[in-house]
Amino acid sequence: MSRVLRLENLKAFYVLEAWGEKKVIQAVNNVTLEIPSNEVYGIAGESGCGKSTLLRTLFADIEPPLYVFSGRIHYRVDDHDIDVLSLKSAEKRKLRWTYISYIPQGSMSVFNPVKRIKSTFLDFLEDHVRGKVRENLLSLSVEHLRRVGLPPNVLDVYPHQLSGGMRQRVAIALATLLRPTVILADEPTTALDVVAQRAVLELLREVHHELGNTIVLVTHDMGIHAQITTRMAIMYAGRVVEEGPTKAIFASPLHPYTQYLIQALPHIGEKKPKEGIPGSPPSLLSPPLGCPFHPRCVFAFSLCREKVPSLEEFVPQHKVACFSRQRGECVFEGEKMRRYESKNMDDYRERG
Amino acid sequence: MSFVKKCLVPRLIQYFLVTFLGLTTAFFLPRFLPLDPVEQRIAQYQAFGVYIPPEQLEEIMNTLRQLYGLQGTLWEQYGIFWRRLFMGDFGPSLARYPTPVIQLIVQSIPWTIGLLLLTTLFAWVVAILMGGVAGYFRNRWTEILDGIVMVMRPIPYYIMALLCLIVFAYIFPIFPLSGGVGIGREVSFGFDTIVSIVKHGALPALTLLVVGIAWQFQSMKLIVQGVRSESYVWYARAGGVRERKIIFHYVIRNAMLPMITQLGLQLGTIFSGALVTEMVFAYPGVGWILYDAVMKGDYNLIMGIMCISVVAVTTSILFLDLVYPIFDPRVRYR
Repeated sequence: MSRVLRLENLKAFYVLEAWGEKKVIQAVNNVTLEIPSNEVYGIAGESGCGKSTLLRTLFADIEPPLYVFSGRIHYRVDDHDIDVLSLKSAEKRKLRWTYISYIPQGSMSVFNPVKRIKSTFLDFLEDHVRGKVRENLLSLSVEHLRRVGLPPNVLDVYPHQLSGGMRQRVAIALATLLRPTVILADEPTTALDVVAQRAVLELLREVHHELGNTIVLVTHDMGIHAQITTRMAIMYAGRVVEEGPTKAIFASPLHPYTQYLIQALPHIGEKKPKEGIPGSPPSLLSPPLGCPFHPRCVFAFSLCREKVPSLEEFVPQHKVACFSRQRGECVFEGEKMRRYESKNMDDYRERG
Repeated sequence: MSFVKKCLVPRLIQYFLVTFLGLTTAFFLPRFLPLDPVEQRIAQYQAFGVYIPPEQLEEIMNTLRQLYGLQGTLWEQYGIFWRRLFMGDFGPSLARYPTPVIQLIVQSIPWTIGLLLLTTLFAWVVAILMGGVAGYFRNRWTEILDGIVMVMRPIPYYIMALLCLIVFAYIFPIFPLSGGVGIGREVSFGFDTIVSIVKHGALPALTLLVVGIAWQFQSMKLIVQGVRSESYVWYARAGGVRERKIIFHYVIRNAMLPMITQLGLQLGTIFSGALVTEMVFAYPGVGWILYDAVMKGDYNLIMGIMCISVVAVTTSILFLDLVYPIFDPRVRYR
């Protein structure tokens, strides 16, 4: 299995200074990840767990107040590992859009509101494709839009004339214009209704199918992960707590937090009210000592309060960062539960 | 066709209505004053000890009323006012009788327009570029620039003008003290005349530029700081669009929108002159004769300048309204 991105012990913190007081928000805390090629890789977690920041650092877009304190980010370009954090900005710019591109949140307006979509497309193309005249670039855009199934006349309208779902799909088209190897998508379906969500996901799947590339999809919506991702990581309080094939995670979640997440998914015919996780997520300003989940975990014991568990392979391909699981002490409901989860997963697959 | 029907016609109706109301105000306002210019005039003569027999007095008053356009009822006068207006006739100046008001205005308006139009446009362009760059980049140089402007802007304009006058015309006599052109020089298109005009205009223009650039620089800088944190700017940068293109096509282009409104409104007010500038530098513009007219109770001249001002302001707003959608497609013709 080849990989395209690799993170090593990455620590990316926000440093805020107000009235002489320094505050450090530990948004991405000691994350080590490998993202394999030709997969739709999901990153899940609740709001404020650092998943969008992780995506930004993957994109090597590190601007104050975000700082990288330690760690490395490697891109695999032409069978060579490139340490992106040591690249100059001109070299980074060259990799952007040709190797790695970014799809922003649905609610975010990424198009210049006073210019036609066309001019944004041309601006993005012009600086990457040298020695081509505007007509060529334009026909390139038209061709690309056709390929991803969008009407080429969207190029002639202004951003405010498009619906939210359409704008998001055009943004995806813009991000995939130069057939990048890696596409980072930050909550591409947020703020869209389910019909538009479906269209966006379909487009992503199509793009993935056509380009055979890697899509890193960040969303808190476990349903979307079940529908589209092949492998995923679960984040909690700036750390990755579980990582593995999506199917395995939904079938037998290893971390207690993941268990709660998957239990919370509704499925057809169920009447029982859902239970929330007791407690509230920790502040990233001062995360609790030890495992960040221990204050809310029913399996927590003394070691959890002292040390941070590392992400270790528990079953092949499936990693977890949990002491009680690694010790084999945490016992869940067992087989019954597992069946329930896999049924749940099938529900989502069918609906997708 | 729908453009004409839905947008142009209502705008034009609005335009004419506002202009009509403005001109009507310009007509009625002086007439509601508790002063009668004819009686003022007679009293002025009598104050010099001129004896006017009663039968002649009546005749003189009638003649003056007719000349001033003051005979008949208010509504008849109003009718005559409009009839005269369409012929560009505001009646004679009362203070410089019998010079027609229109002639005085025509004489002074090129000075005002020449000075104010150039400085307004130039200050606007410079402020946008400077403010745009200073708002986008934050480094030592822009901080220094910002500091200078912060100190300059709160200085009252007349102090600035007097300061310039003292420094550049008295201590270092580089520029002439006052006037629009050298004394006794005929206004023509000769080389010497143009040099003289430029020399006389330099100081008033300098003060207007400094003040105009300073406050517009500050507003532009603030707008740019807002725009540069917009997501489309970040995204363009993330997508590797070149910095220069981002500054001009994304940041300044969007930050310009409020500035365009500002420019349009400013251009309308040009026609009423820059009173303080023209006072300090004794510049023969509209502001100067307006001041003169107010001091001497020259109602016709005040009314003439008011009328031109009203038309200029409403016209520039109409123009702005029609042109704005070109700059901001989100504002569509409704």
